[in-house]
Amino acid sequence: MECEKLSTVLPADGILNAPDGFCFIDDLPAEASYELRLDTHTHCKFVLHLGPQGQHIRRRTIFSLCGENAKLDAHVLIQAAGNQCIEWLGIQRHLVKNTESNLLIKSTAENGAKISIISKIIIDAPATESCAHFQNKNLVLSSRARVIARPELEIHANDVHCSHGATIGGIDPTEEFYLRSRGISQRAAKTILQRAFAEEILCQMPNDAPYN
Amino acid sequence: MSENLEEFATPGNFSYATEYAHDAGRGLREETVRYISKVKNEPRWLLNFRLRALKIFEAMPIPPWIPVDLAPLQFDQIRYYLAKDQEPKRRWEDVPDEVKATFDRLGVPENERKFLAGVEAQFDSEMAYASLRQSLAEKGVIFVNSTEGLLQHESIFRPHFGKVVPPADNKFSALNSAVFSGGSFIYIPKGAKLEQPLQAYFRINAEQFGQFERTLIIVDEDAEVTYLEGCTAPRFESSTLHAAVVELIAMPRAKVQYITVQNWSSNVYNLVTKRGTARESAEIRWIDCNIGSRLTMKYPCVVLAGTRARGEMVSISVAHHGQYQDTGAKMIHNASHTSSHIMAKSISIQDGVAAYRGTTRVAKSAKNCKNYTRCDALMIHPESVSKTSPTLDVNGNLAQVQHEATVSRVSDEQIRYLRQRGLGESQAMGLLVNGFLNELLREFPMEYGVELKRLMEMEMEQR
Repeated sequence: MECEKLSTVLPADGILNAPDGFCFIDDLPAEASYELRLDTHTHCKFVLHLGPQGQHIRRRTIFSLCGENAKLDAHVLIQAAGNQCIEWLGIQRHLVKNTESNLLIKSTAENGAKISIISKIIIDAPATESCAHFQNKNLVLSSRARVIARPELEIHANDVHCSHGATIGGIDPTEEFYLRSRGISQRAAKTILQRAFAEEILCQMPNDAPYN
Repeated sequence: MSENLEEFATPGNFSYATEYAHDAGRGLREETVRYISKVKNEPRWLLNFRLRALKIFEAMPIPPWIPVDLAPLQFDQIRYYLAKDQEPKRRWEDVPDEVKATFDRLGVPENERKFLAGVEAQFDSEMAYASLRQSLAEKGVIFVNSTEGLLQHESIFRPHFGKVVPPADNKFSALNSAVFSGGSFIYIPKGAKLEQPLQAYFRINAEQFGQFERTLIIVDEDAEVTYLEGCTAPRFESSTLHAAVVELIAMPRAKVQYITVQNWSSNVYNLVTKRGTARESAEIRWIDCNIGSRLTMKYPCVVLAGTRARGEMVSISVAHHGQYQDTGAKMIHNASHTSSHIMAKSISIQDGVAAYRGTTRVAKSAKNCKNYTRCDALMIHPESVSKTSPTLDVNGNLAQVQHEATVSRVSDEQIRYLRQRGLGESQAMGLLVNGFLNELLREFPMEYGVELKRLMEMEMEQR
């Protein structure tokens, strides 16, 4: 799949009609708001890494599935440390039938960081036989960090497959103990587990992505 | 009594003409509150509490996120207090025949009453019948209405009254605090374990009459209680408001189970605030079933204030044509080693809207807290609507919070399979809907579970 950077292809009005078969990389600055429209028989990927952009980061992203048989796979990695404050506001909107969208968001919060993830799936009444999934996993690494997750569903058609799930938790002590019993220091064990947590999304990132 | 019953020619017409000895009139002003307080012979502090709450109610705006237009609810047209001039009755024989006739319409069987540990039926704002069985009295259980509780058992109830749900919590808790009447005040002494559930029947019986009952249950250390509340309301033309406040206090190691079956008529606006505080190792369970009303907004909450406290919520909501069921749960983890569990299932039929709205919050000081939330929605018709909006708010790295939600429908294959086995379409539908709910229906006491199953089958036959 070919890659496109959003900073080069996004029109001034913030609405991008996505062509088929591309992987879009969000490399926009800290504050950005845009809409990605997928037309008939369009299959797209979307990758985003939030964290290095700045102290206060805010993303407002709308994925609109406007054409039949459109499909979207989106992966978002959020890494907040220090006193960073990161907000994600996403909408997966299905307007017509036979559309599919999958969104996976993974986040880690260190030190006194704050992460807020509000993500909504909207299925309009004509969007029957649609499939929408949202998964959100959050790893809190410090007692001072805070994560707020609000996964929402709004469904106006009954012949659909929809689900969402969200978890918030710390590092699994049994996993950490396993690594430590193999002679790995506590610090290294934490880094390994953190890296493993992010790997699911990092492996989706193309090699020439700006963050790798 | 049978003569009285003959008046009910049309089935389903539960309305019953009653004369009221005390009527505060329509609308809400300071005089209305003073009138209620005077009729009830309340002390100065309680009147001041009501007046303070009235000021809060007037100052607070209607929450902007209320999903349904509240315009049909004209606050100045509601009658805030109606009561028959009668003392609560202790013996069944003393209950007036016309009240008994209403109970017969409610379907409270005579023989069942003997098994009920304490029957308390609220007839409009005052209690028409309240009997405590000897065994309960011996255990030191206090089961009275709100006026009696605050007047005669002030030392027990006053310290906790309005503490779990303060008047300023929201607009409708302020309204309730200003004009409350009726409801149950219960105290379970240390170590008392009640095998039989305590039960109350609520009923609205005057057009445009908002019922504002107030319930306060204090369960002392190591005590256990189950409280049942079921509602039916008469059919009325204009909108009715029901704004109740329920406060639970579970002292260390106490267990409380609060079961509600709500089946108001479809013009009732049901805006209820329910909250419980669980101290060390205490357990609070809300079991909630919402079938009726025009709009229900109810988010029972457990504040886990002591270590190792546990909160649980089991919720069923059914939204029919024209109904909006906005239900959910709140779990506030303020202490370490606390756990909570939320199971919510909703069914939307025709253009009914079933919504889950919930919050799970883990405070900074709380360590090793666990929460699991699961929401399942079943959509029967193509025009049905389902919404889910949970909030997970976690401070610190030592909590485990999980949320899951799925949406499904009854598939054609399932129907076809059951029809092949000789079931009619509506029977098949009833069976599948009951299968969806079965896991949670088991949490209800058996007679409620059986009734609810029948109700679901009837609903599906009508479709």
